[in-house]
Amino acid sequence: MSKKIVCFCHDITETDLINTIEAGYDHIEMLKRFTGVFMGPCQGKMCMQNVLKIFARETGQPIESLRVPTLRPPAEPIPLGSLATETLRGDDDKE
Amino acid sequence: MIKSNYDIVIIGGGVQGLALAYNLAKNKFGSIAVIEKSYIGSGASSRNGEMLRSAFASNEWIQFFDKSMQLWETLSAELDFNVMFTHCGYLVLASTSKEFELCRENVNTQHSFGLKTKLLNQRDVLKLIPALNPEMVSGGTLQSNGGFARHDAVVWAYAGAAKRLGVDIFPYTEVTGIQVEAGTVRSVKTSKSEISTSLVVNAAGGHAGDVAGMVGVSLPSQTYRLEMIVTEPLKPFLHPMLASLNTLSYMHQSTRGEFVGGAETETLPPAKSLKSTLVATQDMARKFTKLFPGLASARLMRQWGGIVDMTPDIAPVIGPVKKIEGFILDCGWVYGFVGAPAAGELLAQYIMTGKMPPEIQPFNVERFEKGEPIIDRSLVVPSETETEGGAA
Amino acid sequence: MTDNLRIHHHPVVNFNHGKQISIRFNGRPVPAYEGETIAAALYASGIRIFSRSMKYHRPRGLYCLSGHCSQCLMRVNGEPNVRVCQTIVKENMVIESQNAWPSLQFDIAAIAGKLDFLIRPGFYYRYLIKPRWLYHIWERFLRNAAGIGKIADNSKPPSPVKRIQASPQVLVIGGGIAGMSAALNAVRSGAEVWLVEKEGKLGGRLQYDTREFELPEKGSKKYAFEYVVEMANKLANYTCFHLLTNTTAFGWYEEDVIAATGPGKFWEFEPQCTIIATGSYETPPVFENNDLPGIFLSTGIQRLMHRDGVLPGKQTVVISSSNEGYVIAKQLYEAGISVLGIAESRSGQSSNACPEKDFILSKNIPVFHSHKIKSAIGKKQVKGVVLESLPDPANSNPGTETKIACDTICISGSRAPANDLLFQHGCGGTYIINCPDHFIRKPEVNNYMSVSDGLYAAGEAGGSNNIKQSFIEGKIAGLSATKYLGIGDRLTDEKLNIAVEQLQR
Repeated sequence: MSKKIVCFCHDITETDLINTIEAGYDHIEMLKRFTGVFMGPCQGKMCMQNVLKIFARETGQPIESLRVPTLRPPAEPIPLGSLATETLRGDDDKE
Repeated sequence: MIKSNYDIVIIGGGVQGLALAYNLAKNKFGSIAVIEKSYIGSGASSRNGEMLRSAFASNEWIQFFDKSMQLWETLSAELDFNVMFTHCGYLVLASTSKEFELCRENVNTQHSFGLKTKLLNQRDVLKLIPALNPEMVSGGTLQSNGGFARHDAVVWAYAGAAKRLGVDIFPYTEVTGIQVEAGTVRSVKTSKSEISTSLVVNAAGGHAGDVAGMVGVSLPSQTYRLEMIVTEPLKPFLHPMLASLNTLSYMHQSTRGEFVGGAETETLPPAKSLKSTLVATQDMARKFTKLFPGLASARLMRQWGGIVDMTPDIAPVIGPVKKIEGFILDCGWVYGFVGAPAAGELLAQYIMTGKMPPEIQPFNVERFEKGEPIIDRSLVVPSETETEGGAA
Repeated sequence: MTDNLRIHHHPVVNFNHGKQISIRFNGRPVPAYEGETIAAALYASGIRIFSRSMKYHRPRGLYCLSGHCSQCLMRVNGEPNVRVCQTIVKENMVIESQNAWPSLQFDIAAIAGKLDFLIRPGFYYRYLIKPRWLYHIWERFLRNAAGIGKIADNSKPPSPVKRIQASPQVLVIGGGIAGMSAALNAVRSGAEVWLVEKEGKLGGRLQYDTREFELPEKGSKKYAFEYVVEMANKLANYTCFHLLTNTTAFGWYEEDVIAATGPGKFWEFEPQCTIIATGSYETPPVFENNDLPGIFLSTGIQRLMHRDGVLPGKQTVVISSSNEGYVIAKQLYEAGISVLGIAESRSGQSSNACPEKDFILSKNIPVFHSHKIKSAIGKKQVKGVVLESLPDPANSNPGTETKIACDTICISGSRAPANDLLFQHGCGGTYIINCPDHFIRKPEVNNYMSVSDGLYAAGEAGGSNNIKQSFIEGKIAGLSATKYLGIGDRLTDEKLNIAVEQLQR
């Protein structure tokens, strides 16, 4: 069977996810850390729905009960240079 | 299922608690429970810089952490789980002649303890890491057996090995109270049930202060947030781990190629929040693009904050407390990731034999009462002892 | 130049290709038109593989064209990992592929895909422990195989970025139909409104959508792109409207600041009112070979055809689970592509009528009800598709496969709300299950599109699933904001009530 890619950034297939869950990494946060889903340059934009769907199905949990990994900045990848500002936030208050 | 009685209850399923549990079980201590309020490794154990080194500048730090480094060498084989120890070396970067002098002094101290660190001049450093901004390089010290390991893997490795030896690990279980009678620990109350025990270890990381508070002990520490950033994957350009004295920052390239770094932002007040702050983000971006101008076009992909319970001298507190029999501390860690194998082994020795091993003896909690903090001049995290004069 | 992929005559859209210029791709010149994206120029010149995947080095092509996925990362003028679908060409631009050797077309490391049984996720945790010398060799190999693009050289110091703090009365994030509708309704009461838009122009994805429909109170049908241009023009007339294009609001930080970055500037917003209208991400179903070049998301195809004026291919099959499939099929047909079939997961009975479906049926395009995509056929590019019938009373043989030869597959995916900023801020969310195949996590939105005091979500970011709804939600959010600011008039309540009624209809 050809590969069914769920996470395009790190080439994680549906089979990989199922195997990882079976191996005991059955918390969504552990699944993420073990396989690297949500952690590539797309930041989960392409895979979040599918991973949650597979996770819910494999662990027998209803989707409604799932916890989505905490969302933190940045919402989009941002060049570090554009964050390297002349002054820092709070600098002006000091003066 | 949680049993009603354990010989020891370890609070905190991070790398410290699990390493201790594993070492106790290995020595057939008895029944062991590890209580973790979230998933295992959910605290600072999976939110750190993954750094492995022992090239510090004081007797106490070097002795303890070098013991740990020796254990790291064989950890994968011992736990039968590859923790991905990458032997890329650990470079402390000096950007000014004053910092370079400090490095020179530290190397002398390190050599006197038998550490094989090397003093590098500007040219050596730039040859090792050509992507560095030459203006930020005056030299540095390299510990070639230093490096990094996968923090999650270490947690899973210890947890797996501990479970195989019969340790009971209870994730998603919160400790709500500790019962003390006549100065002796009697039981631990959790969100699921009450466990009677005579020994409790506080390995609760960023929440160690709260746990100590349950038995009326106040720790000489304060909770700080350390923030880190990760860029999109880049081809290898930063071989060793790098700590910059000038910018109080530390960084490495992960096995996926991501640039991972953290820095001390001086203006950040103590906090228990895991959220990211804008001021730290700007500060880190400025520091890292100053060190590596080429990173300006690399994209920030993730960022996170972790909390540490930091003591005034940044060294951990390990061992018993005077007033309460059966309450043992294993907290106040900032370098807890690299220290875990040694802390686990040595603290287990103490618990089994009642004799305090010399490597962890200096890290007793009484040192603060006596006004004898451990001074180490090589630390990247700035020491608060001098500036705040024992604020805790 | 293989100019036959360029659209010159289109029944609905007028293309004014700019001046012809030249860019360089991997050392050879490629013609391009001023104002178009790098992706468009490369695709029109016949490039199909845009990158290789990180682990197995699988060929990857254009996919979302919205800057969301990681499949078009290239090195542009020495900068690594640039999303070429979002980057406009410039004369003599130097574009290089990354992480492939000797070439994108033929990459030796693709052997990894065949050795996958050895290198499943986490393989390194379980193996390579002993002997240690072997691990050290692996360690070096793994480290060198890491990464995508090379770091830029450090010759030129980065230019410092100016920090600007702003506390507008209303900050609208996202300039699609919901965001513009919100902004319009707020500026009409005289509120100072700032709108942050990630792309170069207002309009969001509807700029590239040629569907016709009627908005409430408008009286006649118009094309989607006409509506958004009209709204953008209206907004430009208000002096209290401030537009920041090419500016990305990327973080809601603990200091309660919304951070945004634009050309040469770094914005720190502390607005009195915030309206989140960041739209959605189109997410695909999972099937065999689902990453093959030639497979596109429908919004990606719209951008390629109607933004860039480039055809994705000659023959296509559309995969969908809603009427959106017919909408995109009609647009593909109008652009001059033969649509060989539409597979939709709904049965014939549950698939409701729409003008686009009537159009498709009138052109005798086959519709496969109760079908899903099983696999894409091809090694480096789509050569065909295999459809599979689903259990359904009307299907005598579920599991029957249908093979169709084609060169592109258009996926009309499901829409996941782009609610990153809301959740960074700490808003709650609930899962809404739309159908067995699709769910969304919707932010908790109260009456009048309010999430909390002074914070509103409108459009697809808040869970809307159609254009009219997004338009009305924007209106409600804009009016609510003026009311919150205390600058509405007695008409505001009336307008709000009408809008809420329209929403319920």
